[in-house]
Amino acid sequence: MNIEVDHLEWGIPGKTIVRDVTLRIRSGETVGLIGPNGSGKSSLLRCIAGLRKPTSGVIRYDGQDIQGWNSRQIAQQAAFVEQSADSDSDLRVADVVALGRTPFRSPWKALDRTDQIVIDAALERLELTELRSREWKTLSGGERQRAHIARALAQQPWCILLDEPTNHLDIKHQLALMDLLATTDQTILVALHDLSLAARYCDRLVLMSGGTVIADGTPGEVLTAERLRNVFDVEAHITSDPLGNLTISYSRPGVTIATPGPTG
Amino acid sequence: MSASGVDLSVLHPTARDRTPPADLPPAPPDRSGTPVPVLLLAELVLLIASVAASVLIGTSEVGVADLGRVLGTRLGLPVEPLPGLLDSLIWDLRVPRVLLAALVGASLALCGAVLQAVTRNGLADPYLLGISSGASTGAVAVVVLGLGAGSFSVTGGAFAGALLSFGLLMLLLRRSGLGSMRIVLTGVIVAELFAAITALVMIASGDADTTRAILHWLLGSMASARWDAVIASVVVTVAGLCVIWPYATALDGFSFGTDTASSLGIDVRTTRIVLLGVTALLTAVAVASVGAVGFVGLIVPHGVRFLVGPLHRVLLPFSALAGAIFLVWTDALARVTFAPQEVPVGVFTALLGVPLFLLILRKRGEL
Amino acid sequence: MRISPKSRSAAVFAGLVLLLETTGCGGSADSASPSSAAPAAAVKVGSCGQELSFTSTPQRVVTLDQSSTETLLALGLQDRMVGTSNLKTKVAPQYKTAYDKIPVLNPKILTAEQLRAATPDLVVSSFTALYTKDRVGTRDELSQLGLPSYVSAVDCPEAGESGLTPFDLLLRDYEHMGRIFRAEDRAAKLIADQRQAIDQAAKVRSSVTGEPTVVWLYSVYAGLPYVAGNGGMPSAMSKLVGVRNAFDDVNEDWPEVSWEEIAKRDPDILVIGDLSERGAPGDSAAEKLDMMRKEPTMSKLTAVKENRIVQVPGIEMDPSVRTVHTLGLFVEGLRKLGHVR
Repeated sequence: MNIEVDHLEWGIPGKTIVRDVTLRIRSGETVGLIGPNGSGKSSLLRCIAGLRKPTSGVIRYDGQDIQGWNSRQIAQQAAFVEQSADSDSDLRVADVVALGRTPFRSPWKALDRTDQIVIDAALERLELTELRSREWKTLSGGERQRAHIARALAQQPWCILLDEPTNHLDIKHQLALMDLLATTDQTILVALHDLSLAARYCDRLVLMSGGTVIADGTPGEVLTAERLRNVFDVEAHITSDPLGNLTISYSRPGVTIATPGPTG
Repeated sequence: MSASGVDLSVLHPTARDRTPPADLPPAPPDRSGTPVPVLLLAELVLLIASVAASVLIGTSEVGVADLGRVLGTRLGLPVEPLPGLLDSLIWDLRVPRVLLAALVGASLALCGAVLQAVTRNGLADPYLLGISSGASTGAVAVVVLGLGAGSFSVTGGAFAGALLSFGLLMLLLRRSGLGSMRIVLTGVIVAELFAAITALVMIASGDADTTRAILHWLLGSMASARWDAVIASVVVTVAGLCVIWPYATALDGFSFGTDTASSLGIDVRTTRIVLLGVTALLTAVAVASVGAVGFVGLIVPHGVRFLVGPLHRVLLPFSALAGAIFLVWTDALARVTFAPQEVPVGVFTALLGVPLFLLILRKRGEL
Repeated sequence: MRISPKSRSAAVFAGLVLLLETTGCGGSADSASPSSAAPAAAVKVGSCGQELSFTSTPQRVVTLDQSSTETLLALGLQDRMVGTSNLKTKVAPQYKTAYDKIPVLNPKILTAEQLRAATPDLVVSSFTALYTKDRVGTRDELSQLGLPSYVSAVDCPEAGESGLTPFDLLLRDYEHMGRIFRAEDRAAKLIADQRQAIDQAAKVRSSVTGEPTVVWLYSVYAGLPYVAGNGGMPSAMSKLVGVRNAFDDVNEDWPEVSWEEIAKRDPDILVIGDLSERGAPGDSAAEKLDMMRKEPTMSKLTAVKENRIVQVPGIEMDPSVRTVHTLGLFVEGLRKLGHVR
């Protein structure tokens, strides 16, 4: 599924949070959304997921304007993974993953065999099969995050929108998740803080600042030392290996990267 | 295929139209290990047994044979009818009272389960959130100020009061979110406000008898239960359950907040409006017929979650049945504990409810 | 319903008596019994908006409050009573023996179930308010069950012709009971006795000096005094003897007022109800008096300072067969305090 965003604006009374964003995501692409805190990444994701009504602008799924779609129609196309959504309830892991079947269930029907197969596969994909009967409150942060991603996969979505999904994950599961997102042919838009991870796994990066897109392109095009200085206010050193993988190293605040060795 | 032989390709959207293979493994058992239909049937049998047993309990003792003769007479069987007044004791008073207790219990427990899901707060309950107080104020205003006549307008007043108090609660919570303690404290404030308005309306009436009757009723009493209240309650409770039931899956989706719910295809706004409207109506009918009976909606759904888990397809019908059983027995206790006098049932639900409420708070680490 | 064998046979017996009476067979059995007159025509008695019709005399009466109980006992109807309830204080000594033989169905307010379980053929109450759904059931419900319900004429002045005093209405109850139970003679005697006591008291009016004022203090509940307002028995007793009830401007039987309000009206006489038999703290007249002497505003009251106080049994301030007793005490008090020439 390809996604088109045209001149999107969204805000709360008195403050525009997303301003004039235009974006094209091709079917099957894995796009990383990067930018400092408060740059509008989460809001943009929520607009594209149909959770916020844009004040102006258009969002199209496969060329169709989603304005006027109900949430069920949207949920049958796109899954959304919030940043650490928590619950008080005693739901089990399998119950949480089963929520992903909601867009396809009629209110009168219990989970059927198809639902069960999909749920089992989603649990297996996120290595949660062993944990399927564990209650939510007994899970670690990382296990909860994986359960949410499995829930999104159980939605069999054409597109997955994720907000900081690698938070709480240990490095093994971070890499496993990014690998999953990079290899699937579902369309992926993922907000990330870790620029190295974003650079390594995403086909394209979209850099946001102040609610608008200021760079859009391959990791190599977007991530330059000058941009990182302007946008993130950090000194970064970026190197590229022969395979095109980027390595980003940062200097400590007040420490200039060009100067080797410790300084006073 | 994964290492364990699970076909992962089903996760792809193109697999949606695939028909499932025939050789599926059986679904994993429910957490209690007992199939849900068996549990439901067991609880239904328990409810029927409770109703039957409870009909025999009261300050005036009723025997199985007497009950048999009363029911036999009603069914046109060739039995010797009981003398008129004794027949009336059982058929006009005891039977409708027990049935009304079951219906109100079911209704309040259902309201509690729904409110807890919609507000994402385990401490939500029509009584604790002040909805019962609002309904009381509405009903009292209708009775005292003589706004219209008959039980329908009392229910109407109770409904208006319930909606008003819930609206006020939501207004007060608009900015602060729906955190557990905050929602309870705000509910207490709303309840106090409406209690004060009720007192004001009562004082304005200046009629000692009306005041006495209202005070008794405010405690939650089943003493005035008659068939007309039972019929109104049956209609509203069944209708309420029918409206709520299709939202069971949606209520599960509310577990992780409104954004996740919405991303799962749930129309959050409509769901909230419909469910809050239905709970306000159920509470209003319960309050109009027996007054403000507290704590049923709070503790019953918690107890049921221990038994069958938090999924609403199962939780809702179980809560309704368990709430019915709970109030049937509490009212039986209220009838005989201090015989020959009867205690308002609301006093007993509070006596049982307060310690359980503390237990819940402690378990949640809030106290 | 577990009916004890005794009450079951009593019910059967009562049924037999009814049968005999309605067929006219028992008509001349015992001329001493008030039930035995058995005229052919049904007795019809109007009671607060309902017409009660009796083809035979009631044999199983249940009373809903102490006043009704004592009225029936005063008429010697104890053998027709199958249950009493709602005792406010001890019954008067003269009724004690008869009272003790009747089952107490509920020491407090009777429930609808208890009323039906007693299988009565008549319910008697001093107050309409006892006939509600959450108490014994509405009068309409009872009448549909064929159970006549009587309400004291005192609680229902609007049903009678205007201009009647509470005393007139009280005596009307005796007359009604006399007709219902075919005990007209006893009723006539009770009416004559009480009428005489009332007339006796009324004679004082011409010799009362000036227009003294009185406050009738019934009880002190949670520190707030309940006094007699307009329309109740104390107000009627005051009018009868030419004394002005200081709270006649309040149209309520027992309004709750403030101590300041009593002090402002500074009555010549204070009548205090003694409820010591009820046994709650502060119920006795002595305790009430003691409290008033300590209370800053009340202690300055002329009646308190000069001990211009009359003590009466609190229960007798409400309309009942015992009220004339308090009327006598009140007149006696007026004399002692020098208000009568």
